[in-house]
Amino acid sequence: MISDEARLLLDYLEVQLYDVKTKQDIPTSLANDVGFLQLDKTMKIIRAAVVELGNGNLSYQINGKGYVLGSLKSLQASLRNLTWKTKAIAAGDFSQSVHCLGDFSDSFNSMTKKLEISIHEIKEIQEHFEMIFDTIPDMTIISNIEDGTVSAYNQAFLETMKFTKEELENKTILITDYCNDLDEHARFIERLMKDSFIKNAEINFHGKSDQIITGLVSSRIIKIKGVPHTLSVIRDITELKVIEKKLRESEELHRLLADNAADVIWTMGLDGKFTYISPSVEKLRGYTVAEVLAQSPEEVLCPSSLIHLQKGLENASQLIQNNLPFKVFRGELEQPCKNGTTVWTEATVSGIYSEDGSFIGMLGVTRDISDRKIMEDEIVRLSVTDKLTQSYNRLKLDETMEEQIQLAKIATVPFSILILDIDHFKRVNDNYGHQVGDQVLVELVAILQNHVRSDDVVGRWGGEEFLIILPNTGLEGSVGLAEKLLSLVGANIFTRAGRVTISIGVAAYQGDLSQESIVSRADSALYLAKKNGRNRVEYLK
Amino acid sequence: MERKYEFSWDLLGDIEEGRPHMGNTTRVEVYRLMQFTFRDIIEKHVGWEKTNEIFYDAGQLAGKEFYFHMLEKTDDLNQFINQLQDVLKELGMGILRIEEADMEKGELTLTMSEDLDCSGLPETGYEICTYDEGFISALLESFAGIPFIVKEIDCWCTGDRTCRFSAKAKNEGNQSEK
Repeated sequence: MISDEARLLLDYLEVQLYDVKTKQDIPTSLANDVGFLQLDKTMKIIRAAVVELGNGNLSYQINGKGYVLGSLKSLQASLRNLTWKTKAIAAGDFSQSVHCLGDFSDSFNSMTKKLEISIHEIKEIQEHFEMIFDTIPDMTIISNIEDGTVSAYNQAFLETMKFTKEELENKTILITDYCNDLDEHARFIERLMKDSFIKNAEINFHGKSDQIITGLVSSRIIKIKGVPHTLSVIRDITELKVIEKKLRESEELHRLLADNAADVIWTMGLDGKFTYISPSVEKLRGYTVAEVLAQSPEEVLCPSSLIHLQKGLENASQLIQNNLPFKVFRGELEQPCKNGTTVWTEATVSGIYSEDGSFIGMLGVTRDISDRKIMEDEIVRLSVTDKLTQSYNRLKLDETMEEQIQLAKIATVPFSILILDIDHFKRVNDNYGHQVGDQVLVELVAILQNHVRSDDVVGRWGGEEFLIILPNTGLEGSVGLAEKLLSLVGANIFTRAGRVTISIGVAAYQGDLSQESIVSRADSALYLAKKNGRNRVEYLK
Repeated sequence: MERKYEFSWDLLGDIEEGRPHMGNTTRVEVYRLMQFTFRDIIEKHVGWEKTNEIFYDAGQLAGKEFYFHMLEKTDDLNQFINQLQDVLKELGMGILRIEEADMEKGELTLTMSEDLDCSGLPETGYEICTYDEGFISALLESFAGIPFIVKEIDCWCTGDRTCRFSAKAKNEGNQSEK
C-alpha cells in the first residue's frame, strides 16, 4: 500500500511517461519543492527532446544537463554528424565513413563504397558516351521533343552547321530554326512519336550560312529527367547527293551515247556473259538486246572467233587473279546473225576498274567491219590478179608453186605445171591490133579456167604465156589435161581473131628444190613443142 | 619581456632517440595530471578567468603548430576534416565529428567524443575544455585563413557524454565575444 501523495506522484509520472497530453498538475504537496521542480523540468526536457528526435528533428536544441540528457545529446550529435556526412557523400565526397553507430556503421560504409563504385562506373560510362558522342563523325544532337531545344550537340554538328563553339555557348538552340520545312519536321516528330525510332529519313535543313544541307536522319526517343527527347544522328549527304546527281546525269549521258552509237558497246563479266549491250547490236546481228543478253558465248561468236574469246577470258582471269592490269584486246571476230549469215566485227576490249582499283568487268566496243573486210579481200585479190585477163598474176603463181614444192617435199604429194604459149600471137596483134590480141588472151583464160579443177591455179606467166599449177597431179594426168586444153583452144573461134592455137610444155615435180627447176623443165618442153611444129603438148621425162 | 621557452616544434624533442624503450605514448592520466596541476597553480596565481584565457591561448598556439606540422594543406573542408579526424584518432586525442558546417556563414558545430581533456571527469557543472576551444579555433583559422571564436557548449563536466563546440568566424561584430 502506498500513501495518497505517493499515488498522486505516480499518476503524475505515468502521465508524463505514457500519455500524449501532459495536462496534469504537479501534486500539490510537491508544487513548491525545488528539487522536484528541477527533476520535473529535466524530465519534461527529456520528454520533449525524445519526441523531437523521434520525429526526426535533429536541430532541436536540447537544454539541460545530466547523464540521460547528455546521452540524448550524444545521440543527436551522432545523427547530426551522420546527416553532415551524408550531405558530403551526396556532394561526391566518398571518403566519409561512420564508425560510432555499431552495425549501422558497417551498412552505411558499405553503402557508401557501393555508391562510390556505382557513381564511378556511371561517370566512366558517361565519359565514354560523351567521348563517343563528340567523336561520332556524323552530326549528333539531343533535343527536346516538346519545344525543339537542343540540349547537346557534337563537334560534327558545329562543323557541318558552320558554327564555332563560342557562338553557340550559353545560347538556346532550337532545331526548328534550322529546318527548311517545318511541316516536314512536324511529320517527322509525329512519326517518331508513333514508332519511337526512325532510320535514315532524308531531311533538308540549313546551317549558319543558309546553305541547304541534306541529312540522313536516324532518331530515337530517349527520356532525360522524364522529359522525352530525340537522340538524332544525322549523316550529311549533301555532297553525296550532288555526286549522285552528277553520276546519274553522267550515266544517262553515257547510256544515251551507248544507245545511239553505231558501234555496239557492251560490258561483260569474266564468265563471258554480257551485263550490258547497246541496242545497236540489233542492227549488227539482227538479235534484240534481250536475246543477246540471254545468249551463250557459243551463240555470240562463230567457232573460229570463239577460241579468241575463250583464250582472252582465260588470260584476263589469270591477270586479275595475279593483280596484274587487264591487257587491252583488239581483234577481228566473226559473229553469227539472226538471218543465218555472219558478220565480221572488230572488237576492242578493256578492263573496268572501280575507284579503289578492283576489277569490275570488261568494256568492249564492237564495230562492223564487213565493208572493210570486202575491201581487204578485194585488195588481196587484186594483188594476185592479172589486170587484163583476171587470172592470177605472177605473184600468185610464185606463191602457189612455192607452197606446192614445200608440200611435195614434206608429204610427197605430186604436182605438175603447164606452161602454155599462144602460137604466133604476134601475128594476131599485127593483123588485128592489140585490142583483139588482148581479147584473145581474155577468152583463152576463160577456156582454161572453165576446164580446170577448182583447186588448179591458172595464171598469166607473162605476155601471151600462161602457167597452170595442178596440185596432186602427176605427169600423166597433167599431160592429159594439157591435151584436152589444146584441143579446146584449137576448136574455139576467138572473137575477130578466129582460130588460135597454143603450145604446152608439161613438167611434173621430180624432187625439185626450187620452182626454177620445174619451171625450167616446163619451159624446155614448151620450147620443144614450138620446135616440133606448135599446137602440141610436149613434156620432158 | 625576456623569453626562455618560446615555443617551437623542436621543443618536443627527438622522442624516438630519447625514449627507445618507452616509446612515444603515455597514459591519459599523466597528461591530465600535468594539465590540471598547471591549471590549479596558474589559477591560484592569476585567477579562474585569466587561467581560462591562458589555456585558450595555449590551445591556439598548439592548434597552429599542430596544423602546420601534422596536417597537409588543403582548400577542401571535407579533406581537412577527414585528415583531422584521422590524426586526432591516431594520436588518441578524441573522436572529432562535424554536426553542421556552413563555411559561407563561417559557422560550424563540432563534437569531440572521448576527449583527451575531459571525458570521464567528474561533473563540475561548468565547461572545462578551454584548451580544446583554442586548439580548434587555431585549426579552423589555419584552414580558412580567418579567425574563429570557438565556444564549448556541452561538456562531460556539465553532465554531457560528448563535448560540443560551436565555432563562428570572427568579425567586427562578434570580436568582443572572446
